Amino acid sequence: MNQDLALRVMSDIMQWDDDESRKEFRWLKLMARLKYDGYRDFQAGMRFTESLATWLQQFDQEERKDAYRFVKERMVYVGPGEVRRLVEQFFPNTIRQRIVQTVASNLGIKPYTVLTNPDAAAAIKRLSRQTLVLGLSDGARMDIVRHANVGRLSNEQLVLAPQIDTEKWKDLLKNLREDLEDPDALFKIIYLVDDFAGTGTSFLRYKEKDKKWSGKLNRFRTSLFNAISDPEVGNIVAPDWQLCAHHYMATANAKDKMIASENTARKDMKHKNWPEEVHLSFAMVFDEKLPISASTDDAFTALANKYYDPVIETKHTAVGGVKHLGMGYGGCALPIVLEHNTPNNSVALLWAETNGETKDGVTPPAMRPLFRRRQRHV
Amino acid sequence: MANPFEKRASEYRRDDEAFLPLVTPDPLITFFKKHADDGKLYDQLSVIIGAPGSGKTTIARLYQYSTLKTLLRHESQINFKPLVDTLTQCGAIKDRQPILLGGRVPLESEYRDFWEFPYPDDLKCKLMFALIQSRTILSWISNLTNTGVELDQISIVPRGDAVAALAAIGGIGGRDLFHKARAIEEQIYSISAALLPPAIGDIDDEAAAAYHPFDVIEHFEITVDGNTKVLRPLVIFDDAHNLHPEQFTAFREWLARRELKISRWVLTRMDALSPEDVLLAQSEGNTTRPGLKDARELNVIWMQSQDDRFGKRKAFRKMAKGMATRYLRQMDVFSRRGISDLADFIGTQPDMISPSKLETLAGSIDTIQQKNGISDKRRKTLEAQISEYLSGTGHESKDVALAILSILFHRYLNRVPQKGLFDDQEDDVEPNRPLTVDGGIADGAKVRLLHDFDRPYYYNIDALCDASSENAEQFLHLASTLVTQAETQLIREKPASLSSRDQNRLLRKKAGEIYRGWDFPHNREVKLLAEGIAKQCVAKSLEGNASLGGGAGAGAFGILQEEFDQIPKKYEELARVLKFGAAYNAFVLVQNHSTKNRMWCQIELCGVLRVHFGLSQTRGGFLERKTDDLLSLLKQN
Repeated sequence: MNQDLALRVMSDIMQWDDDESRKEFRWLKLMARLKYDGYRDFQAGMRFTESLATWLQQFDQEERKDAYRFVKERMVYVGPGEVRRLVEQFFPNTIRQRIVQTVASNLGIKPYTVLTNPDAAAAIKRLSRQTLVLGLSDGARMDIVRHANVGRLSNEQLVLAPQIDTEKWKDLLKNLREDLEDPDALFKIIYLVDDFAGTGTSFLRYKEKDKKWSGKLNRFRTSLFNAISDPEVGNIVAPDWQLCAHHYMATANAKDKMIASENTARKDMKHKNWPEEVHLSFAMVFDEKLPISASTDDAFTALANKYYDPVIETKHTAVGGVKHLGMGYGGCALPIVLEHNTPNNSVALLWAETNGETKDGVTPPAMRPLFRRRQRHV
Repeated sequence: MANPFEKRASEYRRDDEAFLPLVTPDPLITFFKKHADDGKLYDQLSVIIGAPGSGKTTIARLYQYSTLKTLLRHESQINFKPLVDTLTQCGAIKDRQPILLGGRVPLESEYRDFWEFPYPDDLKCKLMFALIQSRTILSWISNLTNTGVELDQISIVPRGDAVAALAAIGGIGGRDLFHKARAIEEQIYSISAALLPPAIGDIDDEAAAAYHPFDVIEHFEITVDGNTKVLRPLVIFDDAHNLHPEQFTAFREWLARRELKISRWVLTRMDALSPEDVLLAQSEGNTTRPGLKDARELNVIWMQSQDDRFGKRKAFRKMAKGMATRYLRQMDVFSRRGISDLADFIGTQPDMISPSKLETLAGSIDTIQQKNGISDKRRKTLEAQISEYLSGTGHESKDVALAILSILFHRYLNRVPQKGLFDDQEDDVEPNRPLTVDGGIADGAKVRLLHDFDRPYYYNIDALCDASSENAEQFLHLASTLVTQAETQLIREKPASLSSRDQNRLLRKKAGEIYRGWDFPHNREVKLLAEGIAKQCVAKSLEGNASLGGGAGAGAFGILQEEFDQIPKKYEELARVLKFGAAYNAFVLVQNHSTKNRMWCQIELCGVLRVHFGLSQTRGGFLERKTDDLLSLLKQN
């Protein structure tokens, strides 16, 4: 579909007059070109404007204005440019700060004096190499971290895998010791990195049923302990090592929950090879007013409930604690779209796609996505 | 593609091939040809002064050697021929070859930083001039190498009396010149870019002090396959208003020296000039040119000069239409449908007011007639006059005829003695001066219809051009709103044509946006002044008898010239406000305008303001005011 045709269809669907069309075409053309057309799941000939036209058609005529307004005024699209900025800031704003603070604290000097102190400079160099960065998902964008930090972090310090096997741990340790020319060198700082936390449960949650902690943090812990218990590997981390978890983006709610969960889990996770606390950091925290709510977004909330197909509910989504997924996983009600995928914490109308098959004599509406989500769990 | 009307600045066009199709030759004819014919354009320092959007950078870029070469490479394209011909007339091209080696040097904030250094003025100037000269050499050389000329094929011909200085610039070979210029640039850049300015004693200013390529070079030569081509170097300093005022003065004096053989242009906004320069530069009695007392040293080109205003308006209309055609050709939506001219979709037929409004208008005129005892016979005579006039113009419309009649009634009443209480109301009295209908009255009637009945006044291509006050950027901004609307209609499979009502509405809305979006220095005070002038002009225009040249022509305050000439000396703040108003297209200062045997300076509202406030585009009419009136408008701040 060419852009002109898509715009004409839009004006027909929305029943705009010439003035409204002029205003909205301008916005659509600008935003499509600047941001939305870059969504990774779009294909040639079926990008934003075309997808928006298709998406709007699932609603009744009088409801389309509310849906369109939601896209224009409430939806937050995080594009590649923004993600790149957040990733590029990771080392200078987060890792480097921790290294400097640690060295300054160890030497008993002020952090701002480290550049003029030869001992501190050497310690910073060594500690930088003793830092390991583990990406917890593709969204951690380790490729950008690598490119943005050439000369600061070596390839052997950047790993994309939350569960590293014993062989990999051995390899990482070997490279560290070779680089530092120290056969006993150990890692002192480990960063776990992920792109987005909507509820924080993927990172750390307590399973009431099994009475145990679960999530990516726990999987990393298991992987680490397995390697340490392997006689061929032995100790990986120094006794005073620091474990940090960094998210490029998080909702205010997820941040609070993660801090609380981490605090609670400390007692249960206590171990000689495990630090007393996990340092959490977030490059950007979305405003707590960002989620849509019935009080401020009543029209769109009604749409989210009306155009809902329960077939999108699975055993994996139930983990979030909210069965009805209209407001997204965990009832987060986020209006967020990330350029590489739409989080399932966002309202389902944005990402869900169903056929509207009749079940138990009930035929739900077929849900059409605006930004189709690639499901992790099928 | 994106609407090119919204992307005017020539800096945004990366490639010459994308830039050249958008360049129209008319400004060169209007502003440069005369100076080229006089022989001043390339011999003296030329200071080119214009408001933002007047096309300074476009001209600077066009005159670069590499751009001229690109132009000549594509000369066979029919659209480029007028440009090539014009540049030939302006002395940039001869025998289908560039004869100028143009290099553009933008004077960005970095040069201004020199003035903040804690050094004596002499040293600051020395450093800045050396940096400027090194960058000019690099610009000239890169213009040549970009067109495929090798460094070893470049040489200069030095002036005969510059043997000693020749060694300091590296020699006559292109390679030596390049490396020396690069070394000087690096040396001075390390000073300007330092976190803390180095101590004076640490500055090796000897090399910089001896580096005077402008004093040495007479012309450039390129030798390819045994053929030697001579090029006259031209340096174009763009955006000189970024310099500190004192720095700017020193810079101008340095460039104005007669012994320099290179051609040099300085392009600047009016910001860089003193209020006196701006306010009085075009005043007849003022022999002082901006910044330099001796006008013979300087060739000033105003890109918004006040001589031959009628001719300039005509020329601008032609240029603007040409420019719009070039821009429209870039838009697929239009080119696919063979629409290449704004006039193709900008309607010229006015929309009349609605029947109910017409009835209201007719009723109000009947009331005037009855209340003042104007006879039916007189009314019929006037109506016949109006009908005759309108049929001559080819635009007969009832609403305009009625509005003219209303004006004529008021004029008639002013020209007959007041009737007594017991006089026969039906008696027809001859006015003491005959009543005539002309374009001024018709224009006044249309302005009144705009205010009273929202009848479209700003429509058709000429109105669009006039609203731009001869400023290309302003024209494109205003045109963009019409083009976007037509584009929308085409996308919606409707005809592109815009009614006069749509044009009027869109242009007024856009004019309001431009006005509200002003963000130049002193814009608040300029707005106060503009609004004050506009309000009084609107009130005057809506007077029943439309007294001022048909009533519509009032779009300016007129101050006696001798009083206006005192403003820079006596009222500094007012002078500054007027300067920035003129510099950023809010006002046009029309000096030495003769009316009632006296000389006036008109502070005329620009086209955009007239559209925003609903004033006529007809120029010439003004309200007689005093400096105190301007001051009192500012006091409201």
